[in-house]
Amino acid sequence: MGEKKGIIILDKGLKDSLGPDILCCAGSFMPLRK
Amino acid sequence: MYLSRYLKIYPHRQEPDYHLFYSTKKASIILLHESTLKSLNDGGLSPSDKDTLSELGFLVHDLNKEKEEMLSFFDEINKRKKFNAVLVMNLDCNLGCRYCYEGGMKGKFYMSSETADLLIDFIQSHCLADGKAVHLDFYGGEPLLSLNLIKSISEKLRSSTEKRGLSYTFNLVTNGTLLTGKIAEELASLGLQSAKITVDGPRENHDRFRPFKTGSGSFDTIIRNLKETCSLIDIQIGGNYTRENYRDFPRLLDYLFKEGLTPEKVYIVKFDPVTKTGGALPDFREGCESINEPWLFEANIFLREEIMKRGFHTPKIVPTTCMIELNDDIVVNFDGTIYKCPGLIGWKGFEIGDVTTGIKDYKESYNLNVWKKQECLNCEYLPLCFGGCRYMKLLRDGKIDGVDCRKPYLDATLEAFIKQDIKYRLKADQP
Repeated sequence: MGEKKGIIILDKGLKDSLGPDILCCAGSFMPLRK
Repeated sequence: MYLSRYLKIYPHRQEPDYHLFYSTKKASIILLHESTLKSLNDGGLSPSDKDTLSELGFLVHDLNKEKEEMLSFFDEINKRKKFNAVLVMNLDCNLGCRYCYEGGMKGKFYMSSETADLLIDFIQSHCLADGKAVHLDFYGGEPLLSLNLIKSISEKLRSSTEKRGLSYTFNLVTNGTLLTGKIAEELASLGLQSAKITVDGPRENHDRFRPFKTGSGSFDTIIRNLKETCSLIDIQIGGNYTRENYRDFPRLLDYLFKEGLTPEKVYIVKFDPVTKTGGALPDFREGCESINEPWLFEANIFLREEIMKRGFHTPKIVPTTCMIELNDDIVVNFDGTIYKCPGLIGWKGFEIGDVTTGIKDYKESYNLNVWKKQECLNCEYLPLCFGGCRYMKLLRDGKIDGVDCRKPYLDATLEAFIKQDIKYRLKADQP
């Protein structure tokens, strides 16, 4: 049986360490911004 | 090094010797083998594994410093040179929606060309002079009832920004009945990127909740317009559901497919619960006041699954914020009064200035520090919440004297959302 990887990265997440992409806006009044 | 406090760990159903890790700060997702987790806890992690886990936001050098850094989370974002404004073009509409968010404030109130010119002066002196790009969200009422003014504002701002080498873009939040292909094409040439259009489920539900003022249904008109516009601009489909009707919403998705509005043609789909209006005379009494109403947990998980399994795109779970935290985000009402939240248009005590006199301090009126307390700073969900929604808190309690805590909601739903992302977006094996 092959050795299992210790860490499997499924998603590297946000590029910057900070920076929300999406406004929450009270149940999404607003469109998403690019 | 230490495990970040801003993460969640879930079991892996199919491979019990792995744990699913999600960083609420960076939205990164990994599977960590239990032997690696043991090494981490014993202090025996390899340097390369330490680097990997740090980069992804799972390991930090100092837990107290990590907590302090959250206090300045928005400082970096607020350095970005981008100005965003939601413009309430009017409070008029050609639909008679049962739950209208403008509530008792509806009427033939329109932004004048004089107010629009004052707004443009405001943007030029406060934003363009500082080298900021400009993005507007045209809102209402129904913004396309002010089509000529939208064009005029856009022409002027496009010209001003181009001269300075800056960008001007805009979106629409529209009921979709007036957004024909011809109008979309014209507006796209002026900077229109995207339109958020509301479709409340399948035809019979949508037409019951969102008829024209004449009483006739608006569904077919909207679908026709969606077909005309989906190749010209990004289409975001929203829909407002209630506890009684949310299970019918997937039939809308099947209908869109049948009509050729397949996932490649629709930028994003997201359904949200109807919320109560906050005007003096709320028209609709069945909306919710809190994301923590238990039926919402099931509704949100169900709807997100139905959207994603059909291949439609829906927002990832990433750190979110409210525009109140962003210095360069404002809402401008039709009369030029400025607010920090679209839900609070017209609410006394929440105006923060106007396009003539500028913006005054709003730290207290909007309680900017509401989440900057130990309970929130210690919470693993802080980056996904930041104190929740002040508007919802106001609707419930009449004041913003505390947070709109989202822990119950995230406890009940986050694991399911992440596993949906893994299955449908990342197309990895179901953990």
